[in-house]
Amino acid sequence: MNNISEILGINFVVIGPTLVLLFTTIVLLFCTITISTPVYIKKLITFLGIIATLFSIFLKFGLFARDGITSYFSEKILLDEFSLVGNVLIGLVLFLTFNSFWKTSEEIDSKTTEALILILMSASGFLLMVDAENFIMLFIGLEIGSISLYALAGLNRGDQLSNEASLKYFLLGSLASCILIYGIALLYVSLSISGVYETSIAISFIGPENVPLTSFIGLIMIIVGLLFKVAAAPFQAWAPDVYQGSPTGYVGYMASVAKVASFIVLARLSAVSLRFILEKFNLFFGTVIILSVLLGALFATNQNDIKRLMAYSGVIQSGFILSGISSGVLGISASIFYLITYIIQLIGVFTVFSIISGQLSSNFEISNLSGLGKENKFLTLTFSTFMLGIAGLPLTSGFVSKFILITNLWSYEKYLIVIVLMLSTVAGFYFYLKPIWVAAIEKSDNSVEKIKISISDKFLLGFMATLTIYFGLLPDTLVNITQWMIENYL
Amino acid sequence: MFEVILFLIPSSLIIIGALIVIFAKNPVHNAMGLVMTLVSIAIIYITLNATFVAMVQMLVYAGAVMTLFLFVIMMIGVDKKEQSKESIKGQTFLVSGVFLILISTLVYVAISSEFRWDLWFDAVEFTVEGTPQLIAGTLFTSWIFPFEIISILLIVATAAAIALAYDTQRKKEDA
Repeated sequence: MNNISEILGINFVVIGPTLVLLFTTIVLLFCTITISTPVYIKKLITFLGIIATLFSIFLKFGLFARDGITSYFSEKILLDEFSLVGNVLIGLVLFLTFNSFWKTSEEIDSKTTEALILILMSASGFLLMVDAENFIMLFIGLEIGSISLYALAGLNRGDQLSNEASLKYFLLGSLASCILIYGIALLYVSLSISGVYETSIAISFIGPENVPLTSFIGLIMIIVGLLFKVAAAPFQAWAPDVYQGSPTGYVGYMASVAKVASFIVLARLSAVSLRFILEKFNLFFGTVIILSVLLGALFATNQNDIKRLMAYSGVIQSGFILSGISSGVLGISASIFYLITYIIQLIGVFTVFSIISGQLSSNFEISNLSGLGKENKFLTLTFSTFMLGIAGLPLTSGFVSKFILITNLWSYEKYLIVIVLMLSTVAGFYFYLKPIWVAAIEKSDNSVEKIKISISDKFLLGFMATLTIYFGLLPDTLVNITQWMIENYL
Repeated sequence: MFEVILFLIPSSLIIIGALIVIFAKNPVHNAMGLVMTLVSIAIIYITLNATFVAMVQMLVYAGAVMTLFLFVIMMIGVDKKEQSKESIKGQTFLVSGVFLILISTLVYVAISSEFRWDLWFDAVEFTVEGTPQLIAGTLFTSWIFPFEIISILLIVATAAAIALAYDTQRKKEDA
């Protein structure tokens, strides 16, 4: 028995976070079906589950320190720096959004447990996706994550916009999954491989010049399937509607977790699989980056709904992060830095929105913010910090991340992309500062009344705002982490 | 000769079934035509020595998916009049254009290759005894983890369906 599990590479520490999340959902399910459990016990179970997930992610570091980069389950699950960072980020997203998704789920009464199960399951799916070495494993993880997100978007059945968001997300997301799985099949047909490391070995074996066209098309289709999830430009059509329609309390989680998982997988593809043929994708990646940055900036300027604005801002940020990932190993480190700072700001902004406009609301006009600064000093302060961070003002982490990214791109001699990114940053100041102006400075007659904020919300918002400022002043800890991540791939 | 007959009968049944799907007026007849097509495809799979795929085809497509189709048809109602109005502008024109392009590509490829059928791959003698054993061999050893993980996918899909469908039922009870 022991021998067989050794041959198959079965190791339960490496899938520990997934197992813990699964166990938590099963306990929750059991509590709902059999005994009528009070709500606060469910909250306790969920919170303990998330803490246990963080702990089991911590255990993976020990395994990594002992064995180094290893694959488990006969080359299905991989433990490397990318998977560790991805695990930590997904755990962090779960922890930081716990307050808002809990309150949202509580408000959808009679469906609280379903919502929690969907959230925890989607996290476990994205964890598997980040860990995947085999592309089939990646596909299964992506599907587990996305199907839960499709349902989460439409959980507020009474709201027309929420239904629309769910259906749109489901249809376009299934199309993207089709493209992804077709790309995997094409890659398998042309080179008889379906793994991350296998791809780079096969390419170095036949020589970068002799890679057949079918495998190029397959790789591009896999990348397109992943780019859809991060809403990069030609594939961004779903993002504004989904962000606008979904319950506000969930959007922070939905947006950040999908972005984290897809970008980590893209980074690993670029660092490992496409290592020897990365230059051949320059035209493809360049088009996607320039299109997403320009289209995002163009559409973001005339949005009245601030959730749509954040969606288009997400398109721009995807372009930014992708520019580092597609240029080389050092660029990947800059991109991961950017990703970490961006998701903290994104979660912060959506937490503020859900506090102001209610957890289940869908529409959220910029004018709803007017006069926020009069009564709610704390909310205005944190909101402005996050917005300025996303815009990239100095003293916030947004500036440092843009600075590191653009210096890296400059050293890779990608001048055109640098110019376009700088232009969009300048344009971004207009639409990022407009909500701050409306909220804090502009005088208005009907200002937002004083909103009671719970202690935990205050703590989380303060924590994220502090991180935004801290990484703007002293970025070296985070820079060291991202440098450690790519050390082995230089 | 025997092989040719084994190929010709199911393949002609496939085409007849497809034509029934397109031209029959009654939706139930359409569904039955589709069943005919799918079963004939399963027979062709068996002649190609892919017994496992054939069984999956029978169980999943001809069994489960067709039952779903029939359920939906029964729910909507068989006697409803067919709506043959064009919903998209220029639908007929677009479809016939795409169809013409496809046909002409096929004809071009057939003529330019002088009616050889093995365009990309050489014909191989490939006989494997009993594919289910082979599939089980890999599925339950090296692919055991993805196989087990698919159960999570099923739980998620069920939970999502319940979460989305539950609300409307409650409202109906209230009303």
